[in-house]
Amino acid sequence: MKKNSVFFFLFFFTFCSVAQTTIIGSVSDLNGLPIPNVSVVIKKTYDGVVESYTYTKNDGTFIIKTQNKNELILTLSALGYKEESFSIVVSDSVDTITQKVVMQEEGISLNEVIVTSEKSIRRRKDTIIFKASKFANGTEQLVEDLLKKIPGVSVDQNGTIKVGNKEIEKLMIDGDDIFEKGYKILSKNMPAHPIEEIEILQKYSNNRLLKNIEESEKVAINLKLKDEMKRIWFGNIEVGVGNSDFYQIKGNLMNFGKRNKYFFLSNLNNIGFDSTGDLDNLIRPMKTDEIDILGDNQHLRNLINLSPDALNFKRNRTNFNNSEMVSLNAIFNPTEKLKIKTLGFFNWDEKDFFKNTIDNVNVADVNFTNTEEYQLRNKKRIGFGKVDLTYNISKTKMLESTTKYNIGDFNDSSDLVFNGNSTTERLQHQNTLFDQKISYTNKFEDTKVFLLTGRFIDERGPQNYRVDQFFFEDLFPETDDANNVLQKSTNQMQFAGLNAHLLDRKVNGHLLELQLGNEYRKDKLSTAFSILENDMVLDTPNGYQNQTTYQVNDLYLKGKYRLKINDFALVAKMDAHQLFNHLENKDLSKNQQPFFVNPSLGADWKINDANKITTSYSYNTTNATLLNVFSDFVLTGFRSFYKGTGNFNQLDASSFVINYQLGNWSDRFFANTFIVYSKNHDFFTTNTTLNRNFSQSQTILIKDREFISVNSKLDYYFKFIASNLKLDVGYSKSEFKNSINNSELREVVSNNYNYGFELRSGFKGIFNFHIGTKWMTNEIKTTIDNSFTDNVSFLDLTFVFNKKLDFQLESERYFFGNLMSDNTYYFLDFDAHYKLIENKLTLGITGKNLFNTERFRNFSVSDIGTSTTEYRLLPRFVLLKMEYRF
Amino acid sequence: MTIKRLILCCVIFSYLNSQSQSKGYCGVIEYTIAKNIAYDYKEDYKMIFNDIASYSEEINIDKSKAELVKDNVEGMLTNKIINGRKNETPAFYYNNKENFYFSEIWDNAVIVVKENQFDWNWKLHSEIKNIGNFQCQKASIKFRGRNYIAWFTSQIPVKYGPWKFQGLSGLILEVYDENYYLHITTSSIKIDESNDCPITFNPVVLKDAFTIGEYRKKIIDLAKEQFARISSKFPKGTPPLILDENCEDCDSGRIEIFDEKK
Repeated sequence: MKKNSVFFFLFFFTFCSVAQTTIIGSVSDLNGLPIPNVSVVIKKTYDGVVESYTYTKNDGTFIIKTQNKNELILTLSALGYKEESFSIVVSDSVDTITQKVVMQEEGISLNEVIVTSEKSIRRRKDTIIFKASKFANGTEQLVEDLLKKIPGVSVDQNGTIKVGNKEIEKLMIDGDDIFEKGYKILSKNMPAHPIEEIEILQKYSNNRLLKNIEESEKVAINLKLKDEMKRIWFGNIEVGVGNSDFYQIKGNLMNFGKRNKYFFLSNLNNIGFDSTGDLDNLIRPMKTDEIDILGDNQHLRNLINLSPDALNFKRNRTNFNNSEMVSLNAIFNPTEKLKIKTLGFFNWDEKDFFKNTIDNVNVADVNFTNTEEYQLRNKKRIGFGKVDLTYNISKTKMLESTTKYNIGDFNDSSDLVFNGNSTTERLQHQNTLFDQKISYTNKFEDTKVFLLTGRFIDERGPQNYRVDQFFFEDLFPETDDANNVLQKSTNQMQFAGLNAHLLDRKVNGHLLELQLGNEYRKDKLSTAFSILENDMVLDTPNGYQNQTTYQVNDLYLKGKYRLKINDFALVAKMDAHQLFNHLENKDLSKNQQPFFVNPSLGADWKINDANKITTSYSYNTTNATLLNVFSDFVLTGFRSFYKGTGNFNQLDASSFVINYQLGNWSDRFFANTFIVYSKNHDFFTTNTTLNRNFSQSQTILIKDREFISVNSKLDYYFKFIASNLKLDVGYSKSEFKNSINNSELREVVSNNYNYGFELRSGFKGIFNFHIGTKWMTNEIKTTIDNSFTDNVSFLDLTFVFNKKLDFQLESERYFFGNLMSDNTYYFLDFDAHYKLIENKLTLGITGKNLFNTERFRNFSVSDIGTSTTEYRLLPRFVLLKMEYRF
Repeated sequence: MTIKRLILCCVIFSYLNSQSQSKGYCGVIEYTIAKNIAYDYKEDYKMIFNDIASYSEEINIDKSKAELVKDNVEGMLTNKIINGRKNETPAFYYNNKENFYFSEIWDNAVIVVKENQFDWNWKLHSEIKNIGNFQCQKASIKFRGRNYIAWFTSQIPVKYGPWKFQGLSGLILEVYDENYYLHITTSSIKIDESNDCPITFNPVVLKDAFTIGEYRKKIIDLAKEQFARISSKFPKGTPPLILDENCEDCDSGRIEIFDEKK
């Protein structure tokens, strides 16, 4: 240190001893008047670079200093004057040089357009790189905190990451993507300090070779780790304990190495929380605008589902669960070219659901009331495994493979009291799924990509269904002693598809897509229905046994062209299908070879900044599925039978959609209207035999039905109360026809109206509110008219006291128009967090159902009558939570 | 609002002409400021300068609308957000050699700010390149947390430059920082002898100009307001957006870093 100062001192001294030469001067015009703002520069040669400079003051004088020696050039210039240059000799012996300059006027005229070359922005094509160290300051603990500091990136309080206004597709670590859309698990848990660089990838394509060829608005973020930081373990654990044995435990543990990455996740709870929620994004990633979707819509449909009703309020209020889930995930990169990704999870769950229903059936000559006390228990065990392999053959060729295996074991049982008869339903079923997909991508030209995809799926879902009561005396009068029924079914689906896809991005930016492919699907359904007395089979009635094999081979050619002219874009699509259908019902077999074309046209027109119209029209022919083609009745519930048409069918439909947007989302005023009109030229409906004890439905094919829906949303921000008003008005009308007890076709028209408003404050302080109400009217017209109006209102209060403490209160009110009594329900929930140690330890308290509402009744109408249902709710509970990150 | 009215409705043509003895001239240049902070966007300016002052005013405002998200066409109808510029009042930079003023457009607010004095102590380099037909010399400076490189031409011996840049021995034609977050390029130059160089600018708006300190407070306040307003449009159950005021380097999201942490 001392040495340094000495050195510095010496240096300083020497510096001072080099004498500066000062040039003092003045500039005037021919009349002797001083000229201000004349540029005075010192150069080494006449055409040399500027070494130092100054400007003349208002009195025309200047002072300029130089340390250069020898001969120098002093140049004076000003717009409107002829440039003057002087050679001056500077030596150690001269301290000051004086120079008087007279400048002559000179005309000026310059007119030049500069053509600038391409800017050398350090932005690789659609990728922006940020050095983490530039933005990090040590206070950020988590990836999320770091991302918040990146210009243009925002992270909202739910952890949703957006670049601009677009949610990111994925968050990768060193180019590896474990979580896909479920990236919050990572951003909310991984510490920030191992990160070196953050890359924002715009116009992102999941398939690297489709980059710049497919139409993409996707954005992704890639985090590059510091070399020395790889291979550390980190994670978090959250524990919640409440009254009446309510609990929740969540934990995450991760380790990311250069080659291998591991991630463990677990969730156990009995507070109604669906623990696989975060995983859904991993198992079935949403692929709306993906190119490669071969086989994605191929699923097995179960005949019988014993599952809780879908309600118009929070699902977790009626979900009496006990769920346990663990998940293990890893990524391996054994060589440069190969990547292996594995994902697996196990889930055990036990769910209870309680409801009591009163059904009033009132159709023409049939009139009865049924009561049902229903208690359902779903037990499930699911194991899921997925392996992704990516092999990069070369820069332009890639091979990908995805293998999925799922095994599920379900035990559903319900105890129900039907019209005073105590009944038990028992449904045991399995689901095994094997799914193998291989795709090959070849970018054979800069703007042309060829994709070849093959996929095989095998899914089986055997079901065993037993009801320990016999409600079908009227159907099977000869089986007097019967006291229970059993249906065994096997249901198997196999799919094999091959798709060749060509994408050609034209020079003018238009995109041409061509696809040629073949999809084959084989469904095998067998059902055996038997009537029993205890364990003895009394009868296996004819017309209630199915042996169906349904094979569909679809050979298709699809074309799509996207054209864009300024603010107008047009997408034209044409799909031609040649089907080979084969149907076997028991010994009867049939063949059919229909050919059809599905055209569609879409347009997107941005009239100006405030007006935008998007519209599309399509004509669609769809082939009947397995559940429409089997020939005999199957049992679908403890008192219902259903059967298909026993024949081939293709259904035609047209639909028209228009969306009009006025203003922009961020404006004070914003309105959006959405209209859908569709017409089913053919549709499936049922002819139902209704009886107090059972119903029996048969699929029939009917012509023409219409559906229309209009929805308008309007936002207006009131400055004087700093609050936003939302209006929401909607109307939909649907009609269909069906037949009850072999009647003439009845027309069923249902009208739905909804209207409501919300007011949400945008205060800058700690307090904000959100209040709203909505009315919904349902009207069903058949031979009789039924209607009712419900209302749902809410008031939410938010208090954000400071960075450490926040508190939310949510209240809801439900009102059911057609209930005579017990028609109004109130709910109150709250949630509070206190960050004891920022990003390390958080304490929280959650309270649900504080009014302890135990039952909840609602009313619905259908084409055959009305029903009142009462649901049991999770009682009041308060949960103390603690979250620790390590 | 009042400020906006002043600019829009009662534009007073104040001819700031040469009053000294020097010969009159009138220069007009057009330049583009490209900002690349997560997104690329551009602003075009026209700068008029004479012996007394320089005045840059934003032009082609339509073009400079920030289009962050385009609509998807794939048959599906999705509402996407275009957070564009709504206020078409042009921004300006005004340099009368003694003081420097600028305006910024924030939603509906037009903020006029008096810049702090800054010692434009450029470091001169010996590199030379041509921009159009002008020979330019390289100079560099550190200004508000970023290292800038400027290219100026001695062929036009004036102190002016685009944006806030000034003080070289010739007109500045190009500036960028080392990361290209900001990149300014000149597209045309026109200079002639003229005593008639109208800087159509109303000096009244400068009277209530904010100081830099006030300006920084104001933009935080406006950002809070904007966050709160956006939050008021959120659906039920979504917590409001909170602006993190205390973040140590919130400024890094801006071109100018006011408080630079060492």
